[in-house]
Amino acid sequence: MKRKCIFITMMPLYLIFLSLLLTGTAAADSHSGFIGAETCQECHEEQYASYAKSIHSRKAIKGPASQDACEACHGPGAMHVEKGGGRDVDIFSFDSDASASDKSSKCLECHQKTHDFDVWDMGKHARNEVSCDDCHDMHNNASQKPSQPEVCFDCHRGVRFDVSKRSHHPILEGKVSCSSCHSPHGSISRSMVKTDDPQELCYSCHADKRGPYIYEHPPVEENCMACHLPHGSRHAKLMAQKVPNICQDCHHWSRHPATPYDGESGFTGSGSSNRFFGRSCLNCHGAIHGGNTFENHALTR
Amino acid sequence: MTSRIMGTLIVFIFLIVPAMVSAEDLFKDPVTGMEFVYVKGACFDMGDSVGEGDPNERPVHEVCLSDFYVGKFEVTNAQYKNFRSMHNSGKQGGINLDNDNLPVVNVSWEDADNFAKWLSEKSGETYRLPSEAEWEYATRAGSSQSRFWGNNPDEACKYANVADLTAKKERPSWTSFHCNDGYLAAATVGSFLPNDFGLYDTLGNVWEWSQDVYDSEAYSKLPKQDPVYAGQGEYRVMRGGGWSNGPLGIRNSHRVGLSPNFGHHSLGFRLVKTAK
Repeated sequence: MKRKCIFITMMPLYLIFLSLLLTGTAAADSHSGFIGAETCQECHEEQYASYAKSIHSRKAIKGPASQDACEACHGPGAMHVEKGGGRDVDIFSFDSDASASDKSSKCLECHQKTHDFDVWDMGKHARNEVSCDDCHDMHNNASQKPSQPEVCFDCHRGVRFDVSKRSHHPILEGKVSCSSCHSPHGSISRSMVKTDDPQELCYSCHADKRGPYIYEHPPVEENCMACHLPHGSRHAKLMAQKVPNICQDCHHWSRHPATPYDGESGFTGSGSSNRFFGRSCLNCHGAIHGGNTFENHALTR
Repeated sequence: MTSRIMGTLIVFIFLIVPAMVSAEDLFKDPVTGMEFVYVKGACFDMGDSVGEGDPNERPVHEVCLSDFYVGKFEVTNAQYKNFRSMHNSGKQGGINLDNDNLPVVNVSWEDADNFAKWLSEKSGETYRLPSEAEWEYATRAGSSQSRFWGNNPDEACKYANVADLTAKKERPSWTSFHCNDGYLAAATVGSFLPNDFGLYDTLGNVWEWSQDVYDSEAYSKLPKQDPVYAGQGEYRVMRGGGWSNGPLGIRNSHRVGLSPNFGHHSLGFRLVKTAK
């Protein structure tokens, strides 16, 4: 009876001891193969120096420095050291032939905890094999390489061309950046713009065009890009075409304005038109985005 | 009378014969005093014949080599400083790596190659870095096992300066051999037993640059006779492992590609001389 009591009393203690032992062993096993940044530094002096200056090396953040330093991103290095190093020898290297998703997944181990990366996988960058290190320099404060907009223009060359046109969003001037409108870390919207509705994005700066108006110009409510190009245009005000041509895309010439503004009826034709002067249609219809003037359904000034 | 004849015979075998072999098979460079051992050309199976290596060590393939001389020891600091007097091999954890008879380290492939060219000009001989095939043949010295002394890594400390239990005390996270060689960092060249060709420190002590450009698939591309990979590639091959490496790095067939302008604390070289 006494022996049974001792057994019953000791059993929970034994189980606790056993579980602690197993937990300790598992923890040690899961951490095997790590050698510490000091060893990495001996060969990779330059890389370590740049890491040491970067935000990744700050212990105050939940980043590599508070985990396994170099090995937090490059993986355990014991076998790499045992074999004497060498590019890609039992170590994860970001400038290797590793796939974009493999490279990005290393960063996402920490960074996916932020909302910015909620839809990374659904974004066009992830789906087109763009990895974090294509844009960011991990060893140099994780800054972009180089900064916006050049890092974007490396791939989006057409946009570089557009923003150099006479009428453009002030991207080159530094007043807005690509990420003012786009979410490079993933978006479910078209062209990875920041909002589902592109109108809302335009209104965030161009609030005066939002309305509400008594007399609305339907395309304004529908889509700014019916008339404007977002990056740049050779026509004023980022217009997709010159006024009046763009107006005539919708406003048929058989009604007012009755005259088709082609070469024959422009400045040089036999029946030249004064409607080419100044701002053309906008000479009269100045409130083109919408009007609040009583009975001004023609959106005149 | 019989015992006198036997005695004379023993003296002849143990003293005179080795002396005759040495005279024929050794060459001493007049400028640096470096010793070279004659290696008779032959064919051998190059690559990971044991099956414990990386994919870049396969396929095992037959290679045939012409005669050559190979450095008996790794090039030392004193020898290298005939070329670059200001060179400093540096320190490792407070241990000086710049002593005269320690192997020169912190030399890039370009430094090593330039040293060979400089010495060739000075001495009138043709020195160069060994090809991978020459290096492996000289290191194996007839062995088809992982290391020239056999497959057992625990015997390493008799033959090579490696990551051992001495190093393990300082660097517990390193993967080490289960033996004690007594050195934390580089050892004076020739401190361990040689291989069957009489070459010292071919495995361990410091890594050695070879002539070849690194290509992980080079073994499928090269000719059988005197192969040297000189194709496109960013890296050069280093061989042999050093004092900081464990069993996987200290093997006859292990090969690592490294940037030719990179040097580190356990990377040096030895030279070969073309046989006339």
